[in-house]
Amino acid sequence: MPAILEADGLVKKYGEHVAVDDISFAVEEGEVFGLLGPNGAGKTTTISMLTGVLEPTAGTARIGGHDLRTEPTEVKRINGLVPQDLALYPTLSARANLQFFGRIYGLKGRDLRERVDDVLEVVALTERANEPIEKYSGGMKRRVNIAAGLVHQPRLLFLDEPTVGVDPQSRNHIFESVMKLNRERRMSIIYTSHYMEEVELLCTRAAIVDEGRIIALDTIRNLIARLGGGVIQMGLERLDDEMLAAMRALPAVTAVTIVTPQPAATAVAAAAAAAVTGEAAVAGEDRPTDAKPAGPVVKIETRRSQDALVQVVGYLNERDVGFTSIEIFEPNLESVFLHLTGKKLRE
Amino acid sequence: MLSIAWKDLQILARDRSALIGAFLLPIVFIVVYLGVAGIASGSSGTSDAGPSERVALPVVDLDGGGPAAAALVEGIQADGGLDVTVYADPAGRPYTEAEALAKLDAKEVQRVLVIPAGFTADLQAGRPATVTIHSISLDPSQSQAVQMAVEGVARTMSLERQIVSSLERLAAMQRAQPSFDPATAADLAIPIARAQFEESQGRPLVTVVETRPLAAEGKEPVVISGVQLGVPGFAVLFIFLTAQVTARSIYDEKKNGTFRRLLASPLGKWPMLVGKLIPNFIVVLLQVVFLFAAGMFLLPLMGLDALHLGNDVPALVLLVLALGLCCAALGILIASIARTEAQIGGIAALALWVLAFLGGCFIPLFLLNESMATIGQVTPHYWAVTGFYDLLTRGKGLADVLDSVAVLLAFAGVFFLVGAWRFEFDR
Repeated sequence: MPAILEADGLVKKYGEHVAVDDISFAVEEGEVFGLLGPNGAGKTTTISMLTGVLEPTAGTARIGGHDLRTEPTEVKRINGLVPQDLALYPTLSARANLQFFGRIYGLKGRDLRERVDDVLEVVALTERANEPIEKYSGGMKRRVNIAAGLVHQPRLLFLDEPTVGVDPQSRNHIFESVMKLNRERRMSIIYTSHYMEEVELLCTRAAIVDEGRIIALDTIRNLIARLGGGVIQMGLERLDDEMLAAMRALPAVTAVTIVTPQPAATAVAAAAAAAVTGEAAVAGEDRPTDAKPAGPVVKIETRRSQDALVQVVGYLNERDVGFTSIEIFEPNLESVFLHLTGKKLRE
Repeated sequence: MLSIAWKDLQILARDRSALIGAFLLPIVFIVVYLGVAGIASGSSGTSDAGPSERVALPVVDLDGGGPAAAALVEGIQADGGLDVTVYADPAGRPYTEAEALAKLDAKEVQRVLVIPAGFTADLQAGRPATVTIHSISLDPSQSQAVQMAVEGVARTMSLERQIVSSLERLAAMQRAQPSFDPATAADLAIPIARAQFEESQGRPLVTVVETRPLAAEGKEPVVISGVQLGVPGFAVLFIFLTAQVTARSIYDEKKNGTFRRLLASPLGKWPMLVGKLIPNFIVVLLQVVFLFAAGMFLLPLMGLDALHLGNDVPALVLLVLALGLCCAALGILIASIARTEAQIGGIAALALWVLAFLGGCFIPLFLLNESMATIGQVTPHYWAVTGFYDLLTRGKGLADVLDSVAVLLAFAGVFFLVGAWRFEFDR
């Protein structure tokens, strides 16, 4: 497959602050490519440079064979952008919004009407197309937001966190639309999110971005396989070198590292992680969620998390060491990110 | 570019408060202001008469106390309901015409009646004479009353003088013909008297002229009425206030994120900015048409004078086009400077009101002192208002407003270039 996008050493600086630091990657024609990272990682800045909204401080990209710096107009005709915010005119109808966004790409007359009707159908809003979008629900606005990026039939669509603040039904509709566009129209898509399950579901490959840099780039399967059997994060009453060595020697454990305690956030993050990932988050004791852990927190990488949990808890019982919290991260992009950065995606 | 303009016009058409601010509010403002100004001019300290006082009419008598001049003054005093006095300094020395006009320029009096030298001799010789009322009064009804009073006395004097003249001719005929039959005197006298009476109606011996001073360089008489001053002045004020529409539209685009979409589209940055100022330009044109039409047709229905568009409508159109460009470019400048909604709606609005005041939108600068007029020239408002006054109140034409048009276009160019230079596309 030829590459529709080749980013080469993109850098964006604001004064001394480096928002994007030497990012390079390629996206194949017809691929759904994920950019996964926490808020502030540099995903939106990267997209903004690739779509011509921001000028790179250094580096460039070729999109559809055109250079971003020297042929920006050609590049912009290939791109479609769906920004993270609802970038629409609220007092105009969905149809008027889409007609406008079609016109600025040079569509007119019958072509414009047909394209607008088509994208309204894609996002299932034909029936209410003539109502001002300020009367729409949040999910419907999101769908118009996506349609506005599609109306000129881009070859490469940038979807920047398209499901933020969306109800589950609209979220599923967005997923279906993305898959349909890719499958039926062979549209290449760059999908940014800090929801790992969205990237896992939609993308064939992903780059994990943190602090303006790509820290891993591979197929989803290979990224997850890097981790092996999952991660357990455990708050302990105490910890010494002997305990650390003993836990590392347990058969189901591959590595144990000390995580800097983050008292106020630990329990809250566990609850939030559980809510989003659907994984079990086991509290060691009943205690207020804003209570501080009594001791250090360790990250235990495992060959198989269930076995490792039994072995670690057994060892701690033998040593009469209590634990203040346990979080189990089954192998997924969330645990990969934790493994790579020591941070959670939504911290 | 045009698609941006069309979209912005669609949004504006749905923005009721913006439409009220652009079209309805100026009309309300004009009507209220003219109403208040009318009341104030009849009662304020700067006026020369209260509601129950007689209107003051200082007189400069260059006739040297001739009997005709004295009769004119007495006649106005007795019949005109005016407070007529010889205009003199505190020591009682009568002012010269130049001194009196200087006092008028200094707004110490609202008007001065000048009786020319040789007034009595001219009338006695049957030669026409002209008296002049120099006035700066903004109250058209008061000015009209003064003029009518002076004209009434002057007409009586003309008639009297011309009838006396006809009798003198009859007497001369008698003296020239000793055989003149007195029985036929009445037959001769009646047609002579009738002819003199008709002549005094059509071509009175004493003519009254009112002049308005005097623009800064001002030698041309100015036709001033509240409507002729108020409508263009407030039109300029509210036109420039619509510069905020452009600024707010750009701010909203940035806030909503649609500006990112525009930047990601194949539109260039310059066409994007031009597209943003076109709607403002169109709104200005519509505002002028609406406000001037209201001045012509609506204000008379409210008992006010009708607005007259002057003698050169193409020049008026040219001036309005320059004004529209200037206003729209100012919107880009405001958008490039203001970073918050409060800065657009508050600080920029306040600045525009101050500029409007300095530029003479509220009070014409030719009625104020020279330093105010000089300060006013740094504002685009001044040039717009001056251009309107030249066309609408002074009856001037295209050649006379080219300086206003040129300065407005220069302002537009500077506003747009500085605005585009300062514009932060990625903020």
